Formats: sequence, C-alpha cells, structure tokens
Amino acid sequence: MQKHLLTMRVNGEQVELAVRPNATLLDVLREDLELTGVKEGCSEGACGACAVLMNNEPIRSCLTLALEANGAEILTIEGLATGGRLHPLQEAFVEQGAVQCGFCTPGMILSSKALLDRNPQPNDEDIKTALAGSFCRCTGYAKILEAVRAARDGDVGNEGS
Amino acid sequence: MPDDDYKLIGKSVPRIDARAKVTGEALFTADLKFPRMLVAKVLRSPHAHARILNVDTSRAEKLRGVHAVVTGKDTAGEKWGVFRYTRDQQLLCVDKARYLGDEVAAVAAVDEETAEEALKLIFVDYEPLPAVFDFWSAVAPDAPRIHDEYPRNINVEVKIEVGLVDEAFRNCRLVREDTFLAEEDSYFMSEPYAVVANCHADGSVEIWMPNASPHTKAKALSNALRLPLSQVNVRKITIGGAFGGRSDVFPAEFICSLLSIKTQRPVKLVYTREENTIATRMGHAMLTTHKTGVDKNGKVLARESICWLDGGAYSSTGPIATSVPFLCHEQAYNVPNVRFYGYRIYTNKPVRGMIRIHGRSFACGVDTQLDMIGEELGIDPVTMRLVNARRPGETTPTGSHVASCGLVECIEQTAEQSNFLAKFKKSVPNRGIGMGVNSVQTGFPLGIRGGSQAFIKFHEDGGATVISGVVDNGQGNDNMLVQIAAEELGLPMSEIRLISADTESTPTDAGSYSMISTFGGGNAVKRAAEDARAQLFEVASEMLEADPEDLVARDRKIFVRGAPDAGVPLPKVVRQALLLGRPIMGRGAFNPDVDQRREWIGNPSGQLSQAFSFGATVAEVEVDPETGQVKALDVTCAQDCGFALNPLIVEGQFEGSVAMGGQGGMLAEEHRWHNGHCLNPTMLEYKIPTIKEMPRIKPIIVETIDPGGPYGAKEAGMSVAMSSAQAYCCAVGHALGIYFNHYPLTPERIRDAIERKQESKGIKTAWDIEPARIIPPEPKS
Amino acid sequence: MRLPPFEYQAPSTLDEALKIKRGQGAAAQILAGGTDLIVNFKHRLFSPATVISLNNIAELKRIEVTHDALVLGAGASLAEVASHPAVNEHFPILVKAIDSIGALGIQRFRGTIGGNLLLQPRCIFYNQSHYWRMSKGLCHRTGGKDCLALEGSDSCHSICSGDTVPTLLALSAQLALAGGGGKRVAPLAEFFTGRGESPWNIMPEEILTEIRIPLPWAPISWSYQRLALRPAVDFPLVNAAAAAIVEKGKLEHFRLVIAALGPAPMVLREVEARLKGAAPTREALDLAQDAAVRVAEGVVVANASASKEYRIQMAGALARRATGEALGLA
Repeated sequence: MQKHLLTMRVNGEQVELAVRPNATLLDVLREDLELTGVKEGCSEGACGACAVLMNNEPIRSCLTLALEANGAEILTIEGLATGGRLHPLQEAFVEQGAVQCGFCTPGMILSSKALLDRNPQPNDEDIKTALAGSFCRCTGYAKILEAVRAARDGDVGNEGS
Repeated sequence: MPDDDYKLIGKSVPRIDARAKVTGEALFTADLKFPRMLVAKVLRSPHAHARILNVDTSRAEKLRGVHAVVTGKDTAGEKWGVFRYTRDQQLLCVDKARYLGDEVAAVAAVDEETAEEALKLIFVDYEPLPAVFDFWSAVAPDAPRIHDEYPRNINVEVKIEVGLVDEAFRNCRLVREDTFLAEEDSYFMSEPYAVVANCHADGSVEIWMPNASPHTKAKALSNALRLPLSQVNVRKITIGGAFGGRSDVFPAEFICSLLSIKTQRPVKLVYTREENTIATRMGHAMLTTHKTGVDKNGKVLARESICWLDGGAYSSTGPIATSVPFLCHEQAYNVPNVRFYGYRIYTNKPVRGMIRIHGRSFACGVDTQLDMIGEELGIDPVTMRLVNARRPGETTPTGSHVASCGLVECIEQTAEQSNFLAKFKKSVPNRGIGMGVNSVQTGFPLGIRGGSQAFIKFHEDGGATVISGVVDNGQGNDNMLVQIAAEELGLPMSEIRLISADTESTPTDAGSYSMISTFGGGNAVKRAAEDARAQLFEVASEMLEADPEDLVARDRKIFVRGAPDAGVPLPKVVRQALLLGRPIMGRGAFNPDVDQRREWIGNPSGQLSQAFSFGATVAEVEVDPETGQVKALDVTCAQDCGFALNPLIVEGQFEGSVAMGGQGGMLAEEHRWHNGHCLNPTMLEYKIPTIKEMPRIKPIIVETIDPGGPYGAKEAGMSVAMSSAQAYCCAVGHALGIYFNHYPLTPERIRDAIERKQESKGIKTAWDIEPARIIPPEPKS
Repeated sequence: MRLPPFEYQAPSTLDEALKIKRGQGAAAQILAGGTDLIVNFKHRLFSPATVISLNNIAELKRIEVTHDALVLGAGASLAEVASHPAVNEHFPILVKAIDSIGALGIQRFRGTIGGNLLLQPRCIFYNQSHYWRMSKGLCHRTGGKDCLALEGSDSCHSICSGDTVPTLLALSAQLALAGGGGKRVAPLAEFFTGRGESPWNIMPEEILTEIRIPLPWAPISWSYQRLALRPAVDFPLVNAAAAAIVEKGKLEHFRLVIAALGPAPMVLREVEARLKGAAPTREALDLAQDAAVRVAEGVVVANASASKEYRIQMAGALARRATGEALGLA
C-alpha cells in the first residue's frame, strides 16, 4: 500500500503527513495527531462520538477516509476553546449539567456548534435533528437540550467558572 | 438535619470534571499511549458450545511483529467467580468454549493489523457440542450440560419464605396468577471496553480500564496472576458509563496483563462495540410468575413469585442477580407473607450481569398485576399503590429495617403533578397513563462486604487533597467527594484536589456498583474532613483563644461562630499546625450497618443494606394502533433520594434513568438471537433512544433525610430507572386496554397483542405464557 | 476498526475514473460519500484492490434543471440536493425522503444522492462483523450456496434500504450511466434485478453519473412514508412513496411504490391500473393496502430488525397511508 501525502488544516494549523489510503480520518486524528478528544464509540457511524467538523459541517470521522479530507479544514474538540477561554457551548454544557461520563460530549458539542453556525436561532426540533445521530446513554438528553438552548440564547458564564 | 446554612451541599454546582470533558482533555482508556506499546486482540470461539481439543499457536508466534500469544495453558487453572462458590469461568478457555465469543486465545503485536493477521494463524480443533439457548430447553432433563457440576444447568437457586403464605392466600378476597417475560437487555455504555496493562521490571503491573471497583479488580487480578495485591495497581482513568456492566471481572484485563507480563511491554486491548456487547456482560432474560392475593381493599396479603433467569454461560453476579428483583419489591411494597423461588439457568449465550433496570419482568409484572387486581376490584392504580406502599420504620420480610422512606410522597406527588386520576378515568382513544413504583438498595455486598476509607492532607497554602478509593463511572462521584470535603473544610471546591480510584495510593472502597458511593464513600470523606477540621480547630482554638466547639470553617477562614471578621485564615492554621509538629491529617472510614451474617443463598435474612431509596414514575403515552408505535409524551418521576447533595446532578440521574429504563428499556431495548448468535450487537441495531423520541421529563426530588446518609443522602436515580420501565408498561396497557406481559413493548409486540388479546373475567391480557415453575431438586451426580 | 488494505485514486474527471474502472473492473470500488461503504469495508464485506474516490469530480456534483427534467449529479451530497431551490420547488417529496435518512451528522453532508440510491442491500445476517459471519456460515452473498434467512432459497433476499429509492421510482426517475462503451439512460425501474447478491443491472465498468427526474406536466400530489424503530439513525423497516396527478377530479397519473422489503422496490402497477382515470375514493385505500400486503408476502423474509409478519402488515399500512395522503383521502 502506497502512502499518500495528506494536507489539511486541523484546529487552525496546517498539517502535512503521509498516510496509508485505508486510514480513516479518525485513525489519523487520534493516532498520528494525538487528538484523542475524537472518540471511537461504534466504528460504524451510528453513535456520533467521532464527530468532527469538516469545512464547518458535522461528519463522522470513522466513516471518512483520511485522504478525503485533503485540503479540508478540520475542527476537533481540542480546537474549540480559544486562548484558554471555553466556547459558549462548552460553558453551557458545563453549567447546565449536560456532561456526565463525557464520552459523547465532544461529538455533541461539535454537532451543536455546526448547528448554531448554520442556524443561530434553532428551535427544539432543529436541535434534536442536529443531535439525533449522537447517542448519550447517561443524560436522557434533557440537559444537553438545555445547554444548546442556553448557548443559543447567550445564557452562559453564570457560574463564574 | 439539612442545614439551610450549607455553602455547597444541596446546591447545583457544576461538576469538577466537566471542563476536562468539554475540551477533550479527559483521557479514557483507549486514549492512552505509551512508548513501545503493543496492541492485543482476542480469538473468540466460533461455536456456542464446543470442546477444545487443541490450540496450535506456532504459526501465529512466528509472524513478524507478534510478540506473544496466550491460551488457556497460561491461566494456571485459576477460575473467576464473584463468590467463592461460583468460580466457574476460566479467564481463557481451557477445555471448553461455552458461548459464541468465549475467549480462546490472544495475541500482542506491534499493531492492530498484525494482531488480526496473527489471529488467523491460530488453529483450534473444536468438537462442537449440542447447545441450549433458552431456559426452557436448558432445564430439560436431557439437555446438554454446560458445566459438569450443575445438573439441569441450574446455576443458582434462591429460596425465600417469610410468613404464612398458604394460609394468607386462603384468606384472600382475590388471588391472581400471571406470568411475565422479558428479553435480554444491554448497557450500551458510550465507551467500549478497553484495557491497558503495563508490566514493570519490579514485577508490578499497572492496569487501566473502565471499572466500577478498582479494588475488586485488583484483588481478582492478583489471584489470577498470582501476584501480591501491592503489585497489581489499578489506575484511575475517565470512565464512559457503567450502568452495572463494569462491576464484574472480565477475561480482557487478565489477558492484557498476561500479555504485558510475557512481553515486558505495555499492551492495549480495545474492544469493538460488538465485543463490548457479547464479551463483557448483558442483562438477563427473565420469566416471572407472580401469584398475588389481596383483601377487598386491594391490600396484598400474600405473594409467591417464581423467577427464571437466563444467565448465559457463566455465574458472574448470579446469586445477587437472582435475588435482587425480589428484594426490590419486598422493599417497595409491604407484603407480609412472601415466597420466592429464583433460578438462574445456564445457557450457551453471553454472560449476564446486573443492569440498571435489572428485573424488568419481575417489576413490570408486579405493577401490571396490581392494575389488573385494581380493575377487578374497582380500585384505581394510585390507591392500589398507596395501600401497599412501604412506610418508614417498617421491616422488610427478610429483615431489613427501613429507616427512611418517602414512597407515599413520591406516589402522591407524581400522581398530583401528572393529574393522574383525571387522565386515568377520562378515556382518550389510544392515550394512556401508568404508574410504576420501585425501591433499590443503597449498597449491597458483592463478594467482599467492604466499607470505604478516606484521607485528607493539606498543602501549605491551605488547599487540601482528598484521597479516596471511590471510582467515578460518569455519574459524578468525583464531584460528590470534593463537594462534601469543601463543605466540611470551608474551602472552595477549586482548592481541593482528588486522588481516587487508584489501588496503589488510595484506601479500599467497595466500588460504585450497587448505588453505594455517596452513602459509603461520601460518608467516609465526610468523616475524614470532620477529622481534619477537628484537628484544625484544635490549633485554631489556641490561636483564637476560643473553645473548638464554637469554631466554624468557611470561606478559607476559621472563626468563632457569629464573628467571621475576627477569624484566622485557614492557610495560617495549616502552617501553624506544621510548626507545632501536629500536621493536619484527616482520616475517615465508613462501614454500612448491615448484617454480616446475611448471605444471598445460604442466609437471605438480616439487614441487607443500611438505606433504601424509593421512587414512583408516571408515564403518559400515545399509541398508534395501526403500527404499534408508541410516543411518550410526558414523564413525571419522583424519588426519595434522602437528600439531594447536588440537585443538578440528581436531576440528570433521573432523566438518564427515564431514557434507559422507560423509553429504551420498555419500548425498544432487547437482544434478538439466531441460535447462539446475537443479531444486534451494535449501536445501529440495538435500539437505545435518540434525542428525538425523548418525552418531556419532570423530575421531583423527595427528601427524607436518611439518618445514616451523608447529610441524609441515599442512592439517587436507580429507583427512577426501574419505576420508569413499569410506568411505561402500565401506560401502554392503559392506552389499549390490554395488560402486557412480554417485554419490551416493541411495535410488533403491540400489534401482535392487539390482534391476539384475550379476555377473562373482564381483564384483557396480551399473551398466554407458560408459567415459571418450581424446579424440583435433583440429586447431585 | 481497521479497513482492509487498498490503493486509492481520486481522479478529477469522469473520464479518468472510467479509465481506471475499465482497467480494474470489479476489483475497483467506487467511493462516493462512504457512509455505508466504509462500514462494509470494516466488516470485510468488500476488500477492493482499489478505491476510486469521486470526491474530486465536479461534473458529478451538478444539479440543474433542463426544459423537461431535474438532473441530479450522482455525486451531489444529500445536503446539496435537499437545499437546492429547484428540488424544493418541483419535488418536495425528495426533500422529505432525504430528511428521513439516518441522521444529519451521519449521512447528510458526506452521503450522496447516488450513494443512497445504490445503497448495498441490507440483511441482518450479512451486515455483521467478519467474526460474526464466519462463525455463522456462508450465504449467497458471501460465497456460499444458501440464504441464512430462508434456508433452501436459491437467491439472496437482502433489503433495498435507500430512502430515496421508492421516491425516485414514484417520480419515474431515469438513471444515466457512463462507461461500457458510452453513456446510457434508462428508467430506474429497469435497474433492479431482484437478487440481493447482484442487485443492479450495472456493468462492472459503469459509473452512475446522473439521476434525471422528468418535470411533471401538472402539479403532483405526493406522499413519502417510512417506518423505523427509531425516528433517526435507523434504516427503514418498510417505506412507501406515492405520486399522483389529479385533474378535474380525475386521477390522471398515479404511482405507488413500496420498498425496503426485498432486494428490489415494488411498483404496485395493479393499483395504478385500477385507479387511473376515475375520481379517487376511499376504496383506493383498501385496494392499496391489500395489494401491498399481497406483494410483500411474496417478498419479505425474516432478515431485518423486525419480524417478517410485522413488515408485511406494515407494508400494507404504509401503502394505505401513502395512497391516502397523495390522493387527499387521509
């Protein structure tokens, strides 16, 4: 198997590396770039733990060949906070109690970010549609829904954390 | 008593671990990476039942990149079992494979591809044996025996009898016998199972894995690996959910450790989602027959329950699993005369353990049957439950004193806030409302009946480090410990560090299975903090020239009650203590007050658990009778959790419980089989709920201030999971006027029931199911 | 889970892609969005020598309206199709079908319209891990000689599970393929073999390039119905699409399709024939339901996440609902 050169921007930084054609984007992000905030929960696209944003769109990194990301802009959970300041969605997830075990959290937050970027005023149905492919086994989703609403409404930063 | 003056306790403070989880910084086991780390893969039996004649690993061993291969020969004959008398599982198969997926061999190689290639080069000679896949065929006299020493494949038999059952039945106004069946369910925690083991030159092994009890894991591994306990160090790691499915010991950690010892390198074994499903644990299928007799007011006078559990290939937590469905209901409802026969039966299927809604058929059967009886007697469901509800101060049939109990409040509040009776009586086509009631233990023994201990040390700047054996599976235990310590020490949570769940540096803890962590570990940390605070007060009393009794610790200061401005800063007290040679070292321990003579099978009598939680849930649903699909509209759930240390976290437990217990557990979640093959081991085919179908949830926290709990707290959430399943079940039944007795209520089951329903004495039931019977004892061969 | 080894090519023109395909035939596999194919690779259902990515071929992503048809490039993403004004104007049924696919985060942005149409048929005995299948035994599709869902059957009963399939069929779509000596265009209905092991009449050297939907000569009333165990993520257990043109109270055009039953979608021609030319009445509902159940009985086997009996019943229920909604009888 011949390795191919892969060039992409990951969390704002230009990355160039040689990858095997059969590597998924998940493999490269987790293993080569050590971005382990990208989680492998089911490996078949169903669980949403491996969600990252590719050119601002939510995708499943476990279902995407790394080479298909050539030239793309990738955002993982590690790239969301800027200068040590949490993104409003991250703050909202903390404050609203939307995080329990935390395994689904990166995918949930990134999917929510893509939604708010596309549609800054989503209603509950929009939020549910955007998060329907992300499974959470702990929360029953109630507080996740509340967190996205809070981020939408700018209702964050109340805990001084 | 709850103190309105608490600074942190009872407040919805955000969790201390949330920040690391929203930034991706939190590491789970599969995220770990070490220099020279190898990758492990497991070879699994392709037969549900087969004798292993020979395992040839020579070609695999020669493959470039393979560093070690292990088989049953490496197990030294040790068998694992939660109890001494249930040791039936070789951690790598030696002579037989007993289910499709049983571990036969494993390899460690430089990468995953090489490890997988190596598995193909291991040649196993199997002699396939006849297999059994359900309890009916497993107990047949001519059934193949899965374990030689267990005739009729009966793994565990529990018999409990209290009161004068037969006499009580004779005095009943009405006696019903009904049978309820539930299929296997599964945890589907978000994180698939993974283990990293790292063997060191000094012979010690470090192990990381999602677990519900690091100390229990270490003990089992120390036995299996024949290493001193101090050489087996289970490390702390972020854990992606447990729900009962991480409590036991699995072959994975043994295999991974063995491979690390053999290669003297770190080894990582990450399970696929399918392996997580079939090769860790899943829930039991269960058949329950309840015979219940009542007086004219609906008060249950006697109940006989016979329960068959499909246990799969090995014992796991068998004696507990067999007993708990009954025990929850002897707690929830006050039934003076009871008889219980529980049989856990081996089959050639994956191993079954305890799960958050363990005992669906038993629990849903109890409430469904109460509704049937209520209909026959003209008594509404709320009254039926209130008449029978457990009250505080009572003693359960098997001898547990119930110190605190808010079940009546739970029933009344959920009924009132959901407007239950009006909705129940007003018939809207295909709409239904139902109530479930349950109770769970706050801690029960599993193997060892250990308590929890904690230490607290101080830093020179006044900050503290709490050291506790409690593990956090995702429910928020870390936060709970820090919140308690901060409250007691008058420190902000940000100035308290936590070392936990590490068997080398932390004292023992019973584990976070059985809902004990807050009650056990929380109490231990509270006592350690109280001890540290007493030492601080001793020193401060000299500095302030005050009586230690009059001192208060708050906001990083120690002062005389009522005079906060005249206090001394806490860091100054810490430094003064160092100067005086009396460094502050807090110690605390807590052992629940339970009857140590009680045993699951041998002596099921005495105080089981120090505290019990109680819950009631009301579900409202709408059924599409054409497709059988159910839409849950509203769920109102209440639980007596003693005292909510952190209402935000408690609510989150309730909401998650509704999703897993009711929405998924009663409407969708079941494993489907084709002989021994699990047809739906994956996220796509096993139907856990998505955000889309979740109903509105109204959580109601009921507080009774348990005398033994930290600040009065007990277990939080589990009673909701169980009562949600029952509530959904009763609600669907109410919507269609049919009492359901086969779970979960999938669309096709509902359609089937609509077509086949049968009526007897005005009661419509869904299916005729062959009752669970008493299995007569057989002389051991 | 790891993918099997393969070479990777990402040509920027269709001609280049066809050239590679001609050279390698079935050993080269086309990768569009990959949301289904990659899972199949992980399960070792396919282990191609070469993967040809269509990702860089702009001409396959065009969406345009000609004088008589809406033309969807096979490589257009589901998101692009569903948000295109012309699609929304002419065929909102297609938007509804796309909206119902899996989940937004899974297929919407990566998945393509061609990929959903040519989704590998599914079977509960086939869409399993390599370990699972090898311990179960081979079937028609994995090199064996039997069907695990229907013993003794001489062909595979895997299920055509695309949400857009019945919809595009109800809209009388045509497919354009390139390769194999030029371009050919034929009605979608002709592409289904009814055999799960080789579900499409497509040559190994051919590539699907376009889906053409003829613009209707009068406003279409329509319905898309699907049944799944969950409102997201899941493939349909049964789905149905209906398209009707009613003029002056008379049903001038009607098409009813049920799918996700077996390897091919089923066009209920007899219902169409019985109803056309008359004013729609509620009898149409019974007619559609009965016909669907009859057809389903001949097709469905026990190979999905629900029982055979339930899926047969539901084929009837969904055909009834689709007919009712399309004809305004609901």
